[in-house]
Amino acid sequence: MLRKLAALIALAAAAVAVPTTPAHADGYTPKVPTVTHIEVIVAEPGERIVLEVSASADYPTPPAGDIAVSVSAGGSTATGARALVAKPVFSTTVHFVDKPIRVTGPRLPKGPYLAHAALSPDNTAVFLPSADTTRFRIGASAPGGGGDKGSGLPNTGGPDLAWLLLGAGLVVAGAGGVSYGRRRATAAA
Amino acid sequence: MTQTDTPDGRPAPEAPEQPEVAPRRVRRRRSRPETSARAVSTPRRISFWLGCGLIAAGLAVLGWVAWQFWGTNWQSQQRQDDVRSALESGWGDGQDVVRTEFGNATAILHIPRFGKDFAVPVLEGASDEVLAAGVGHMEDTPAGAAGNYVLAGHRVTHGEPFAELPSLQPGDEVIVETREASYTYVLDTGGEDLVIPFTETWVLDERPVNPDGGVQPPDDVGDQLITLLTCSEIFHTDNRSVVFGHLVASTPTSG
Repeated sequence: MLRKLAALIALAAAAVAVPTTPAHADGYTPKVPTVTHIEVIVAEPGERIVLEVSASADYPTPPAGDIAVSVSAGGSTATGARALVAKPVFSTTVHFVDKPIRVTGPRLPKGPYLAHAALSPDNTAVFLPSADTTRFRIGASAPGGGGDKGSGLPNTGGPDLAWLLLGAGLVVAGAGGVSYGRRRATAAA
Repeated sequence: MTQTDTPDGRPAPEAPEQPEVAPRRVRRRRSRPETSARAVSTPRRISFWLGCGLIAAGLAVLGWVAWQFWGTNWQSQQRQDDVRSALESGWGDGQDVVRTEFGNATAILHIPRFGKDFAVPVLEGASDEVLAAGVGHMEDTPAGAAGNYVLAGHRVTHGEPFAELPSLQPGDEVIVETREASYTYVLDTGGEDLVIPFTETWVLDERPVNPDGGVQPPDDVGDQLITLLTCSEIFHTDNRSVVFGHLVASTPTSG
């Protein structure tokens, strides 16, 4: 019993003696994390590539700042790391305020690419920098008829199920209308 | 709704005294009042004709769906025959690549599991026109060469050359016949082993590496790969079924 009491006293003394970090002692304000977005809008053979970049943050004002955009060859998973350090085939810097910015690049030969965007906030006292990357491929699918939403594997399936449901729904609704009209006529006769 | 008259139109006597000479009864339809008929007919007509319009629209949509599923197959079979004939004719003239109205044809694809008569022309690219006339060769790697020979084809509609792709098994043969040689590939993965979103273009790489660490070509099969891809479902979908294989034999075309 005495040993337990002594241990408790020692623990309490240690807690008092060891300096602890004050949680809110110096008015420190944590910086707000930001999220950079980069999206491939056009990636087709013979066409200039078009990228769209933007940034956001959980803060009342958007994280304005410079966004450095670069495109490197070799966007596959195996070569992605190399692409990041390889010399980019295209790079530019745009200033983001609050609206997404479209960046038009050069015409690129067919193949895989890696697009990279890095935000450097104007107000570094409030916002943290961030970056985003996306892989894309020139020539993965033909313009207009390939990927469902742009560059990607080609569309090799059938029509959307919604068309079948729409057609069936229209026929059923129409049959209902015709039936209603003829029933009224019979009842009235 | 009816009244009883004598044949000459005069009202019948209230109490006929002579039953043996009873007058003949004639039924006459009395028309409804004009105002009532108008009130009923307007909504009835609207409902009837609106219903007819909806049925017509619905049948048009269903007709288009039916055309997609059956009409385009018939149309694409004709195109495949045309391209195959043009290809064989062009090969006879010494052309490796034969230009057709649907694209540049380079090879004929045979997959024994799909039947001994399965012979679909391979055209360069993956446009709608190409995929409606055969199988599309997507990347620059020629058949039999080091790299990834990627072929895309419809699973449904437009000739549906890859309708049975999910039934493929590892070990199945895929034969690509060109003017110079026939290249025999053997599949390393099955038709249901890998389903990916259409955005996953890593399968087109010269040496595909699955970023998720899943199904991909084995490491020890050499550098001459083949990849077949198609949609993973009957209706429109964002997912694709993919199979991988590798080259096992090249046989020069005789003559």
